[in-house]
Amino acid sequence: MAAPKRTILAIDDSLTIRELVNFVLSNAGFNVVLAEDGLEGLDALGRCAPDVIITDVNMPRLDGLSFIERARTETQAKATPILVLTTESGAEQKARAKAAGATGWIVKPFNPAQLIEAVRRVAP
Amino acid sequence: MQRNLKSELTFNFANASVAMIDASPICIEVLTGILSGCGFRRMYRCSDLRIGSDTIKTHSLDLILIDPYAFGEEAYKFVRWLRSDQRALNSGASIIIVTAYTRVHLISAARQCGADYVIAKPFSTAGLLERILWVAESERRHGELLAPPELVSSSGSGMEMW
Repeated sequence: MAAPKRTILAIDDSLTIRELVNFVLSNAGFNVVLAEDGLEGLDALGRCAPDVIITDVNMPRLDGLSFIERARTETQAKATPILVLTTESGAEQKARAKAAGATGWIVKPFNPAQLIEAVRRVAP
Repeated sequence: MQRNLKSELTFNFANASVAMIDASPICIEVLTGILSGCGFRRMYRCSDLRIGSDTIKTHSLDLILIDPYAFGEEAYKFVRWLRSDQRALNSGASIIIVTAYTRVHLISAARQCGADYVIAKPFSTAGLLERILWVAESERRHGELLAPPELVSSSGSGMEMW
């Protein structure tokens, strides 16, 4: 029997990035759930139990780092791997993400194959 | 055209060069965002055919995206000129015509001038990526845009895992 598909929650306010992440990961065999910002991401966590979360940093309403902090403290996703996918590469933000419980940091523009590999590496 | 990418397929456009020739700054901006997301790093933004011509003469390109609308017949002449001299630097580059005008005679002109593919606006990110992969894998291009798998590494400079 084939293994069940892993579910990935991808959060990004850019439609282009959401479409691209969806395209890349869907074709790699993952179920992909999309959200436009951190608040939508938290809402999605209440509806699905993703195996991996991918989040942007700079987003309206609730940014990615605040999303990670709230996801770890307020939801069931306390141990779900979270990859940050962002144009940012500042040490301070990385440190905050790491302290909040992020699993990895990928800088845009990203290599699609690298993203698939990162997701596969952290997926339980 | 729908492609089913195999899960093990890897593609890396980091070493590919693309010129975007479009009179619309907004369209150039959108294309830049999409191509950046696909992994392209070397992108040349050309707001008219003169800049496009200069870019083609001075840079080695793998892919040229051109919207002919603002340039009329000159755009098709431009592609024919590019294709005409087989010894020219970029005569074999993949060319995708991006157009919002899909009337039969315009599509026919686009195909007859030597372009590899025509894609209609508005297009999705996935749609554009599919076409780029299609021309990259076509026999004419021999997959030159697809970097070998050894160039795709989890230890790339843009990723940290904790």
